[in-house]
Amino acid sequence: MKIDRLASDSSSGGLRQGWNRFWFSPVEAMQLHRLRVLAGLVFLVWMLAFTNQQGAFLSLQGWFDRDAYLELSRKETLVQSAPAPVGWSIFYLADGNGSLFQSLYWGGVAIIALFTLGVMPRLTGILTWVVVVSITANPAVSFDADFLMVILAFYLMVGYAFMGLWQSGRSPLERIFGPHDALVFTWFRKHRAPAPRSYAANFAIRMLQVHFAVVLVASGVAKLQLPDWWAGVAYWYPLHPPFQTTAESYAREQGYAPLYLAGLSLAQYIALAWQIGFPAFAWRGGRWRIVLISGGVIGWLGSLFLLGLPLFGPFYFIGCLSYLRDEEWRRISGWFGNRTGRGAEKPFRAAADANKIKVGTQ
Amino acid sequence: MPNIALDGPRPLPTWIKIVGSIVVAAHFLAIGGVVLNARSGPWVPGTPPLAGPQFAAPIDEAASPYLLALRMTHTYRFRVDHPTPSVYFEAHLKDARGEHIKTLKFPDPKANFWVRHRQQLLTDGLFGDSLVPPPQGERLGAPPKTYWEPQDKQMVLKTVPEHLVPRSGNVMSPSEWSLLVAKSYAQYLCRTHGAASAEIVRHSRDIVLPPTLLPPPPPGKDRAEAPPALFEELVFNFGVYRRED
Repeated sequence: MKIDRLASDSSSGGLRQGWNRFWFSPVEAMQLHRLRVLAGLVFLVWMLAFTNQQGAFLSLQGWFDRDAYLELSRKETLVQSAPAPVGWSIFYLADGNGSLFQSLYWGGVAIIALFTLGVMPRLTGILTWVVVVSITANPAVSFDADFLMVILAFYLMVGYAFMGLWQSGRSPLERIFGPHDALVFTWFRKHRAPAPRSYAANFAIRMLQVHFAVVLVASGVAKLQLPDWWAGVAYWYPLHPPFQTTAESYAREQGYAPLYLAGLSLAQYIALAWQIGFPAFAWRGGRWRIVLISGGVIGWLGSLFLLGLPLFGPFYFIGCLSYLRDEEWRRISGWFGNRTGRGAEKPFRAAADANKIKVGTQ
Repeated sequence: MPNIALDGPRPLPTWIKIVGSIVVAAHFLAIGGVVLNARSGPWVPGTPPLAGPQFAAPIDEAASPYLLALRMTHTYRFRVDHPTPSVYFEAHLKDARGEHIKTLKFPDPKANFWVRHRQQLLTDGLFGDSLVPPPQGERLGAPPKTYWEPQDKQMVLKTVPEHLVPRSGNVMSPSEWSLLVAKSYAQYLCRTHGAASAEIVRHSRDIVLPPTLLPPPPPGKDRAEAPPALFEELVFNFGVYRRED
């Protein structure tokens, strides 16, 4: 069975070396680039879905207006009963200025699009995080999964803030705005260079992995504190929305309720076991990858179709993908035609070999 | 000139590893403190939720400014994990002469999935009623109390001095948060629709219990019957909010 470096660290070189290998060894920067593109697409869909309603959701003239914020800030009891803490937002800068607000909103969309494409990622990464945090500021429409988007944006920002700074050969512009090879368009060149290795990419991915595992375990354990989850009937409720359930449909279901509820409770406990046991298999290779990825996919489909919730699914899926290693990504790239995988580097490597250049990838 | 395609990164000096390790440890200690310090329960009905372990409280407190700035204060106890009643609300808009302009329903069935979801979150904010403890006596200077009172097949808000709250023991009051959201949203609707006032009416139905959680069937019957109240729609009128600007 293949086991990731983390699992083998303690036996092969002691705790300190294991720690260093886990956090401070370089990986192909492409790993972070792929996560960035996926997360960027989710951010874009999330933000564009508010189009025509952006003022209502995000501005101080919207559903939760300036007066409401002022009242909230004056009463401690209100702050405690609010579903989310009130924080900062760049959209508040517009106050009552509609044009400025629209400029900030569409500017935010443009920044996220540029970051997704990999344009000046050091700069756009920071700005993307600012935009993502700003979207989550309205406590009246606060959604749990919004905070998961902040996690993605934060670690991507950290990764790109430091990527390439410890690598010789970067131009001054790249040192300021971020590495050029982050640009999506460069991945499809016929003779592109091998993906550089990066400490920052590894550090950001490891931070995301650990935080993702914390999210899963904490939410899984918290569910077990709720009677409906312990009783195994938690999935019953989203499948029986009160306004769609009638006395007749309820009476019909009573006939086969024990079997039906046994199936639901089993499915629920399998999901809980996946969540709580996540750290035990997330860093393992081999067949555990099927458990990892299929759990992410089922989590996405379940949260969307069973619970009718956006954003949770993409976060789970991207979180699971963050555990894949270089060679696993290459294998997946191979399934999709190898356009962005190592195969595209072959002509370059062949040319380098022909010219007797030593290819160094640390 | 070195070629970036060919150069790997230089080995990291020890000081970077030390600083990085401190950052990692501090960051996840802060997140761990917040997660562990989350309130849980109520374990006994009618009692307040309990705080987290004592050792987590100072970590949470110290880390709060840092995590608030990063918007990472979530405890990962998701609200969606709790079964909640279904809620929608209607806004009846009127002009300055008191004539009806239109009635809007939220969540709007015609809105797209994402917008409808946010409307549902707003609507859920109108819920959160809590039991009012019966007054134990007459407190001097006590603030007036707002509670729900039945009136014409719906519940309406009534505000009275605290000692005049009924002592029946099943009096419910809206949360402060729901009153703030109702007022703010009513103002928004008045502004955007040119109305002079908006009446906010909440409709809700309690969660449908699974048959296995119903009380046992009466003697002579092979299955438990769902109480009729399970499918009853409750109407709560937040009252009329007048445009303020």
